[in-house]
Amino acid sequence: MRTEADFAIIGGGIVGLSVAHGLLKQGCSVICIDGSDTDFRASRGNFGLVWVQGKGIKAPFYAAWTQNAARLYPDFVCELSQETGVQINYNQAGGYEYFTDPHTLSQRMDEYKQLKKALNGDYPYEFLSSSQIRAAEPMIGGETLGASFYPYDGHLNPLQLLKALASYCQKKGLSHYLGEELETADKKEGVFRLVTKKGLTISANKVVISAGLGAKKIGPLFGFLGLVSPQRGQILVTEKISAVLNRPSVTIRQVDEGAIQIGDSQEQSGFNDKETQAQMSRIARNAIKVMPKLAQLRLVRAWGSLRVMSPDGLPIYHQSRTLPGAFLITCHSGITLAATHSTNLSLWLTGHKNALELSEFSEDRFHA
Amino acid sequence: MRVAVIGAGPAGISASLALIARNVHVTMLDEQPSAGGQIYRNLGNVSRKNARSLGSDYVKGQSLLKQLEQANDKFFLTLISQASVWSVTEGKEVSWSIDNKSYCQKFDAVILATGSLERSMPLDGWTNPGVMTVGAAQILIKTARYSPPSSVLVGSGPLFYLVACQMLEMGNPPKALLETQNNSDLLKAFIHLRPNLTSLLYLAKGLVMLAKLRIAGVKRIKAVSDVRIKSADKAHIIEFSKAGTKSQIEAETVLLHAGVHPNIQITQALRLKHDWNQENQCFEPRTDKFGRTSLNNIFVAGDGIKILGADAAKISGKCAALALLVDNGFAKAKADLSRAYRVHQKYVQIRKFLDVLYAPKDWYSCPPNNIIICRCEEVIAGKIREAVKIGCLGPNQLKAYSRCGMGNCQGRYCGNIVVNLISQIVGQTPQETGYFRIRQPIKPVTLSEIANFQELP
Amino acid sequence: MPKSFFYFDEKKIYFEQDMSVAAALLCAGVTDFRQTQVLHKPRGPFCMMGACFDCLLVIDGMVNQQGCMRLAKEGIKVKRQTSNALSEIN
Repeated sequence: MRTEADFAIIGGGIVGLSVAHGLLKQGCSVICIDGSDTDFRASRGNFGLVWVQGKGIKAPFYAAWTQNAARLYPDFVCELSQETGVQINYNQAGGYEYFTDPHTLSQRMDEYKQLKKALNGDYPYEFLSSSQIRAAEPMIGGETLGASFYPYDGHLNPLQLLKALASYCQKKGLSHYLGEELETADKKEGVFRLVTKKGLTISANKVVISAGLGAKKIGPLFGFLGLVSPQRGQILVTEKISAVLNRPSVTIRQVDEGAIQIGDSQEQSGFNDKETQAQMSRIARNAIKVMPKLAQLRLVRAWGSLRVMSPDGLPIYHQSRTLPGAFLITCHSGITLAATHSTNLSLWLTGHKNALELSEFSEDRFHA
Repeated sequence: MRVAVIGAGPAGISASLALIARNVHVTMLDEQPSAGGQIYRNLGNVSRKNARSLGSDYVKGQSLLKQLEQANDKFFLTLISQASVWSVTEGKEVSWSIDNKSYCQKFDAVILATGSLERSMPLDGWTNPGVMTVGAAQILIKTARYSPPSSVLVGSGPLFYLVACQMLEMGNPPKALLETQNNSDLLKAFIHLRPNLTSLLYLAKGLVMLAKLRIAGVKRIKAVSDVRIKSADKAHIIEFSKAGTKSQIEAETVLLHAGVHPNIQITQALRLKHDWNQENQCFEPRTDKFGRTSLNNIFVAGDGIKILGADAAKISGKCAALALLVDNGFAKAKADLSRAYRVHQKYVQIRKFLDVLYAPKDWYSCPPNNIIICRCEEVIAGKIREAVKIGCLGPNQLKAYSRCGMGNCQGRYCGNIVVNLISQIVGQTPQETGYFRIRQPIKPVTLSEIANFQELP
Repeated sequence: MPKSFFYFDEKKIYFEQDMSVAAALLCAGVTDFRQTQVLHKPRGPFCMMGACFDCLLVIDGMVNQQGCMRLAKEGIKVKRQTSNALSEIN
């Protein structure tokens, strides 16, 4: 394993590994410094959606970024699967959001109308009526009034995706250090020197911080604001059953192994990812409202996980001004953006001439 | 003051009786149809004659059950049977399910007395129908008066010989005992024998059992390893090695046993610290000497802390209850607690000897690649080793990469093996490796129960 | 007094006293209770105490019922659980 490289990536979750994937493809040498088995690791606790609808309603540039990310996905997954033999089971057949309240439904209709206009018509959504959604999804019933549909939404097995990326990067020469925590960082003569708590010393020309919630502590070492905070989401997972759901929705999907995964919550609980009965109950009730037949299924496990949230919920892509060559990359939608993180962000990191500017995602927007 | 006692085995019953004696309200929650735990399973329903045939240790439970029955008529005890406890929170809210309906109640204190589980013995064919644990056979004897005919037992440990004797009493002695420990284990173990009256009585009991088996002509094959079970229809062929030679034996039922370890589902779900016991190759919840955990008014008692057997569990239950009383203003309980603790310590002496004598063997603790480790998700050891090499320092990343531990049993049967496998490859201690993150519900519950659980006042 | 029984697929399983469905089936010589979901292998009871989840059966239309935790009762309909079994959801 090397201790000197073109790039040092701090944080080996979905964001770090997606970026490493792209950098390795460009021929860069990459080191990854990663945390421990019991860290919060949002990459192990997400819903597994590759999702466009509902995002960037107030920020069309983010909706466009996400839309593009979904378009890059099929090739990204195909190549990863072929190279590693890992089955990611990506299914991009579109997805729904179900509505039980007429006011929320009509508000959403307006929002998508506006967003489509802002994107010059490039936003192919539809709305399904009560009878249409029941015909499309036989499990739907109860209080469902209708659903929004976006054709390029999809889902996959996020743990297999993570494993495929780790396996791919390992094959292509990533030096991946586990169980490490950054202690000090400095830059001398254009080279970054990172020292971990265990005494591992790494040198790199450029540094990427993709440490999730760890950016709050590590960010300032490199001149970043590091404005990330935890938001808890809880998920219920049922027993495995035969295929009953045709497409995923933003809160209910049937995973490749057959279990039905149901979310979610958005809680300010601090650094606490415990499951709570109150939320489990609420999530179950809401799911039964939309799909009454779920009531008899048994819950095999429930869990909570911490999303990595920026102040406006949008990704942060920023190059440090005080220490140029250090980059902060953080978002709460690491799965959806994996393909674009691999392609577009790696071009941005190497300063490629075709790289996008991404200034709308910089930390500058937080200086009021 | 209201206390929940989870588990109606010797520790749970003892704890409840000690609390009721001081007019504390106790709600006992147990998932079996009647009290007794596994050791005194169904004791309340069997005839005197049948109980005696299962041995003196079984019969001993009768007085405890009788005391419980008497207490049940009084005001302070609520015994809820067939209740599957699926959640215990730090705030001492306990949730349970009976007949597809769930209830939740907040208590002032909780005593966890959920006992033990049999250690996994992953070997070739261990998931085949007709292959069960020795404990399973004992449950069949106790609840259905049925002893599987033409059985071969594989493994070692006190329960191994006890069940062999019980099968003998039932008229269906084992066809053979394939014992995994050898003479070197016996020699190593003897160094740790510290004879006190309790140990000597225990050893005597063991020797009586071995004598019964010898007199009945039950075949004992010792120092066995590399066991493989090939099953077809209703018969099994068990291949094994002994002193470099391969042999085989046929059986209708194969019964496995490699000792027991604490059932840590609830203590892990509460995120209590656990310590690795190297002799018994398992994690144990960290408690003080009386069973107090790091959480206020949450206690553990019995084999759920450390395997010491039913007699010790009875005292342990009493200790936990007395510690609870002391912590909640019953100062007079302090003297009783010291006395009970001294009795409890007598049972600790024999343990080191037993743990070394019956130490788990590598060939099933760190099995070859083709063996299924996670029964629920059908994950083989090879897949686990491969996943660890891609990048896992602990069982949670391993779970993510392999699904091992994600099934219905939530790691009960693969947990400790996984810890061994990871530790071996990564080159760290099991303590450093850690355990699965266990979450509520610790038993499956329907969505409708979760949505509509009834909160009791 | 006639013995109680329940049906396991088409077979009559007799039982005499309070025992679990799993115990009654084992006494009747049935060891294959279900088919696993990933590799479609046969499974039966392993621990008999509700911890291993291998003795899963379809009981009165509901899947994933632990046979060792359900008492045998006259008239219940027990079926071997295949890997694609789905509860008869009403």
